[in-house]
Amino acid sequence: MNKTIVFTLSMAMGWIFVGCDAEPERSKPQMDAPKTTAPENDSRSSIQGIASSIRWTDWTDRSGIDFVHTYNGFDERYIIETVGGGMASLDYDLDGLIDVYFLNGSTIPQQAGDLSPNKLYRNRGEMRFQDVTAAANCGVEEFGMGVCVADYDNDGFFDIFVNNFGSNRFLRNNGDGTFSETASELGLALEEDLGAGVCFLDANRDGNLDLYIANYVVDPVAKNIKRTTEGFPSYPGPLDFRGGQDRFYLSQGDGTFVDKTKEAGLDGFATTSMGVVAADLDWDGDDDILVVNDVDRNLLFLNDGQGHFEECGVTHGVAFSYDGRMNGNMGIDVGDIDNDGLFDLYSTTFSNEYPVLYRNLGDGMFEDALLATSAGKELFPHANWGVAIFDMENDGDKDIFVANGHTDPMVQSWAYTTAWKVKNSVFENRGKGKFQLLGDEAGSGLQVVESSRGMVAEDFDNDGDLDVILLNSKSKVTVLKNESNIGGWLQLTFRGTNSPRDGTGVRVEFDHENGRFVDEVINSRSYQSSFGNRIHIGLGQEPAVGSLKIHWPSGITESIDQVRANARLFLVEPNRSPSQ
Amino acid sequence: MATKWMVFLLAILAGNSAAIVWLLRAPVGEAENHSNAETSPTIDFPSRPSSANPTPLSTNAGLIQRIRDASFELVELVARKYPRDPDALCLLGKVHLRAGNAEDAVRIWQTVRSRFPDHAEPWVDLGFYEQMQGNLEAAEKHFSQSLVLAPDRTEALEALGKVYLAKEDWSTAIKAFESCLARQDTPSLRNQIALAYLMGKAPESAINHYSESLIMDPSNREATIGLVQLFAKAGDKERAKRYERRLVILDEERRRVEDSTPRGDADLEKVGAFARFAFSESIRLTERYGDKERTLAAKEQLVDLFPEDSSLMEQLLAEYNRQNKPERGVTFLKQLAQARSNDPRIWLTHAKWSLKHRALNEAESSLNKVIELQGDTAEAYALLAQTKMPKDRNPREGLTDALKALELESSSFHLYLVATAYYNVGDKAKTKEYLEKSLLMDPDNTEARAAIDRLANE
Repeated sequence: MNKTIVFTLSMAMGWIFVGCDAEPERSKPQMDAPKTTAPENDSRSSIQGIASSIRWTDWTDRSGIDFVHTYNGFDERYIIETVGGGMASLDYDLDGLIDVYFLNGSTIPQQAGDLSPNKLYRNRGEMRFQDVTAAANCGVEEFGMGVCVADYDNDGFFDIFVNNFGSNRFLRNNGDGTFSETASELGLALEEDLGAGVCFLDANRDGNLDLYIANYVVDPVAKNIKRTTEGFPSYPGPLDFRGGQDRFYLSQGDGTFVDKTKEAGLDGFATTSMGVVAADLDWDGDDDILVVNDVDRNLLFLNDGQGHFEECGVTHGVAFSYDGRMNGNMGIDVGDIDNDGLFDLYSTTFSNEYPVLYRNLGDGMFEDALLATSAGKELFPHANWGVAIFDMENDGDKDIFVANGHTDPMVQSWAYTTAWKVKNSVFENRGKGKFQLLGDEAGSGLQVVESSRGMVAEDFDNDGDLDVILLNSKSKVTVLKNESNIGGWLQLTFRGTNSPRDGTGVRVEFDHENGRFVDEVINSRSYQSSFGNRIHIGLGQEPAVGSLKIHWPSGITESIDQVRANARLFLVEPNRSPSQ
Repeated sequence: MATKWMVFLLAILAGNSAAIVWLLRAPVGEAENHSNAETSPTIDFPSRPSSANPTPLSTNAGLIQRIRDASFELVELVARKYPRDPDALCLLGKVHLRAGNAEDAVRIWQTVRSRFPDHAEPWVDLGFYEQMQGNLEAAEKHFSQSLVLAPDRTEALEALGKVYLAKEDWSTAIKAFESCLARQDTPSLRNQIALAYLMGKAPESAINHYSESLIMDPSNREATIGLVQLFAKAGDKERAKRYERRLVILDEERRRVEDSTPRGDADLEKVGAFARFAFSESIRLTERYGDKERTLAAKEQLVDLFPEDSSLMEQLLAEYNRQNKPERGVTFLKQLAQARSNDPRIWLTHAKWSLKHRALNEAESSLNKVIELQGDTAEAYALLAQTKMPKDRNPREGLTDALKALELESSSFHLYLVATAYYNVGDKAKTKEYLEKSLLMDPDNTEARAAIDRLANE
């Protein structure tokens, strides 16, 4: 205003004003992502000239699992719809066969008479399952997000915590094939939170499992925002909401919990939490917590051994991807991909982003090595969710299974490089942590086209290799039988006496010809999912493990010599003090 | 140009007076293009890609379609007007790509490349296209050729560096980026170089470049993150923590901005960016050929599409000044204000422009509208006072409005304005009194000080 006024005033008083013109800037040409041909979601290049022995067979129709994931937001397009949900595997009846539990969605807001329960399928052997939901009394009818399985009360039976949009459920295993709901009684229902990942860990190493509950966003229904993309209705994103504050509950040792979020140093991090994992990432004898976030920095809480945590994500290299991006992180898994005796991390991400492989450099320091390892560049167009790092063909190094699928069933109306339903991906470890994407030659199992979310990897048929079951959004599940040409194997389960009874936090290590094997019993993995109470080891052609070291969370370490291949061991924690 | 003068001489020699008149009247660019347009083969204009959703649900669907159509119309007009200009033809390809029609975009660029093999633009465009497709070898080939043809195309060189980065060829990427650096130093370029060094396991060089980036732009997030991670990895926890604290501050600022800025219609924002690109590139071409009328019309159209964008408005007003067409500005702004009669900002812009160019009745009328829409504001009354203040208008009313402005907002400038109003009604004592008050309130008010001096000398 002043320029004009001064000019006019100057005119009025007979003075002179000289203005100047602003030149318009020439804008730089920029280009948007092009829309060309239909997505090459099946453009998996096969390994040229290198035979792979990994084979996945689609076993869905033979599995007897008829679960169908559903949700209905009545065209309001709530963000919740896009991110559900997880699943779990557990031997709930201790018959030696691993069973499977699926989370379901619901109507939003939940309508009276909405019957879309979670389901439990009992393994009847040979990868055939039977729906026992009603008999087991575990058919939760909330919108299920994350799930975690552990024996929280050390009674020898696996319990199930379900992190919901709506009231959480804590299903205590009665030991007779049934469950009882205890979340409300224990103050863990948390009706106002939109849950995400959840994990049990013995944070203060007192032998009792504590609980970390991740929360995604605040008020996703009341503050829903209508979005369109290219004129089509689409979903809001995480940036449309405030992130939720995660919660930490310390076990009091009598089956009850107390909220210690603040005292543990975990307060004040209201982020869009998705996957969460607890593992000894700095190899100092206690479990740390990693929370991956949706378009926010990831959080790494390093444990001081007493259950107090310090957030070190940025300084330890796990907050961002290699180029400093805050990715739309979804799922997370832990595993040593290069046999250097250190846990690496794999985080799945949204479309138009690379997933992230955080390679452990030692001392809890990480760097994004996705490009250097070629462990997922091909996933750039697609959204990825579930992830599992395990040795598929028992050749002594760990491979990576990634579950894919976009958030929006309408995505192909406006995007041309991805789709709602796409194939899943397997990256075979070619040694020393270099990976190769497998193509259709890896079997019918990798030709299934779905929009996958949670996944588990377990030896469901007890044949010495890990099979995979995936939860698919708004669809039936996918069951994949591992029919790889396999090497030797070893499977370990644990019973803690001073440590948590189910073995959570037990670490194993041994040296072999390709380096050092390490693994840990971790109960929250992949996307909002829970599996892996039984540690699986691929041995390749080695007939035995020379010296197997077991590190119990209590501090006790023991060695077992000459463990022969192709065996399943049940290990009980020695009843002695750590100094012995 | 030489061709034109040869034709001119031939026309004189042939005694063709009509041709002489036409040649003298037609601007050089248009003459060349008119003559060429008739003889040169033309690009087949692809049909415009339809909107993604034939039954769009967006409440802004009508506006989005209008903006999109206007952008295409202008780019097509420019391409038809200058059919021998490869940049104009390539621009047609660019907007088709941006609108989702990659197939025709590529066809256009390939055609331009075959007709103008020595021109860099289609090579650059195809390079970007291939890069986005992930065809790194093809992208490298196209960018490299564009640099052979136009070694000064820095953006092509930087893009080539990014191709090498994507190919994980860190050392070649660094070479390309370093060459760019010799021409221009920007934070984003420094970050690219730092990333290449970081990936190439040369942390010290990476730290140097991220640090340079931060010197140029202290709030550069990418560089800050890079330094946290590099120092942490090097075991320098103190410096890593220092940059992490800086990152926390940057993130808090970002969140504050995000929280205070509600997210708009993504489709509308996208088509807005599309239109701004299409218009600015078209205008660059019309300016290249000295086509003042089309330049001005395009700028007017752009303001008509985005009247709330003050920078576009400023550019338009500058163009009126540059072309010395203030009256056209008054007319256009009035039409714009009438079309959006409830938007006081446009009435105010019209008033200011009219006032500046002595269209005082127009200004007064618009300011009354502003007051009607916004209620009493000091700014409106101050401007209104200026429309009435000249001795041949109504200086007494001007004084009343100036006093009203002062009543609404006491400032040195409004005191000065009242002083001027008193001067225009012949009250020199009051003039002096208010000038002194103005100077008292703001001793740096040089206009008031000069006016006091002038008054003393009268």
